[in-house]
Amino acid sequence: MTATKKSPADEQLDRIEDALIETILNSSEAELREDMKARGKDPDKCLAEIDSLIARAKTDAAKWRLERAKAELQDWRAGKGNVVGFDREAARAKFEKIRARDPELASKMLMAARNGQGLSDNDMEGMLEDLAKLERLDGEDDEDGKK
Amino acid sequence: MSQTGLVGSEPAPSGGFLDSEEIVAALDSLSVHDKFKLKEVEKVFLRGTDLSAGDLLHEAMCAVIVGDRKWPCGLAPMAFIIQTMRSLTSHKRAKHRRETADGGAAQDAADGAAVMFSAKASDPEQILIEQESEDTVSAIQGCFDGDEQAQMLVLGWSEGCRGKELRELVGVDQAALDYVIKRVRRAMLERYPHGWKKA
Repeated sequence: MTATKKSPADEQLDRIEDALIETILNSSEAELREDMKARGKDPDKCLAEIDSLIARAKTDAAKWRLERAKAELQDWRAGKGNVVGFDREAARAKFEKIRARDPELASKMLMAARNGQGLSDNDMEGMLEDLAKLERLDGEDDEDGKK
Repeated sequence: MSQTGLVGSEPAPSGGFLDSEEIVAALDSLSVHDKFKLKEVEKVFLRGTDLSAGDLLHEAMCAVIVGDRKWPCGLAPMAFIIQTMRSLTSHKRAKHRRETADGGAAQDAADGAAVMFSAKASDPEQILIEQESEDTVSAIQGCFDGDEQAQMLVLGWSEGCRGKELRELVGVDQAALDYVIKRVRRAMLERYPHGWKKA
C-alpha cells in the first residue's frame, strides 16, 4: 500500500486547528457557555455529559485492568510463564509513599538498620512483590464487592 | 513544543510519573471551565477520524487512567489530556486516510471512473486525500464569505501567523482581533460540530 503523507492543505488544516484550540484554551468559562448556548446547547447538560463520560472511563479502565490481571493469572496457572512482571518502579514509589506517611514503619526500619538488620536487596524485592500482590488482591476484592 | 503551547509527555525535571491514585485525583480536580474546554477541543480533534462526539475524550481518559501513556509529575492535567487526545487523533487520522484512500481508489475502479494523474500527485490515493483537504480549506474560507476580517484571520492561521503578524494581516488592533477570533471560533464550531469532516 502507498504510504500516505500530509499534503500542503493538510498542513494548513493542522495550523488552523492549532489556532482554534488555542482560542478555546484562552476562552473564559462565560465565553464557552455563550458559545454553547449560541449553538443551541445547554452548558449544564454538556457538563453532566462530561462528568458521566469521566465516570464511565474510570469504570472501563478498572474493568480492563481486572481483565488483564485475570489473563495474567490464567497464564500463570497454565504455566505459560509469560506473566507480565509487576511495575517495579511504581511499587517502589508506592512503598516510599507509605513509609513517608507512616512514621512508625519508618522508625522500625531505622531501628532495624541500626541493629544491623537493615533491608537487604532481597528483602526489598520481596516487599515490593508482596505489595504488588496485595494491590491486585485488593482490586479483585473491590470488583467482587461490586457484584 | 506544539503550536498550542502544550508539551509532550517528557519526564518532568524532578522525574517520575503519576501513579493510578494520583491520576484519578488529578481528573477529579478538573474544574467546570476545564471540562468545557475539553468538550470544545474534542470537536476540533474529530476532524479526519471516524469518531463521534464523546468517543475521543472517553478513549483519552481511559488511556490516561490505565497508564497506557505515562503522566509526568508536574505536567498539568489539561496539557496531558489534550496531548493524549492529539496523539490518539494523529494515529486515527493516519489510519482513516489510508482506509479512505484504499476505499476511494477501489470505488473509482469499480465505477470505471477515469483517474486523473498529474505531475503534482501521480498517486490516485494521494489525489483523493489532497482533494478532500483542499475542499475542507475552501469550505472553511467559504464560511466567511462577505467577512473579510474573518477570512484574513483564517488565512493567517493557515500560514501559522500569530500576534503582531496576525494583527497586521487582518489590519486591526488586539481588541478587534479578539472579537474576530471569537466570531470565527463560534462559526467554525457551529458549522463543524463533529470536526471538519466532508459532508
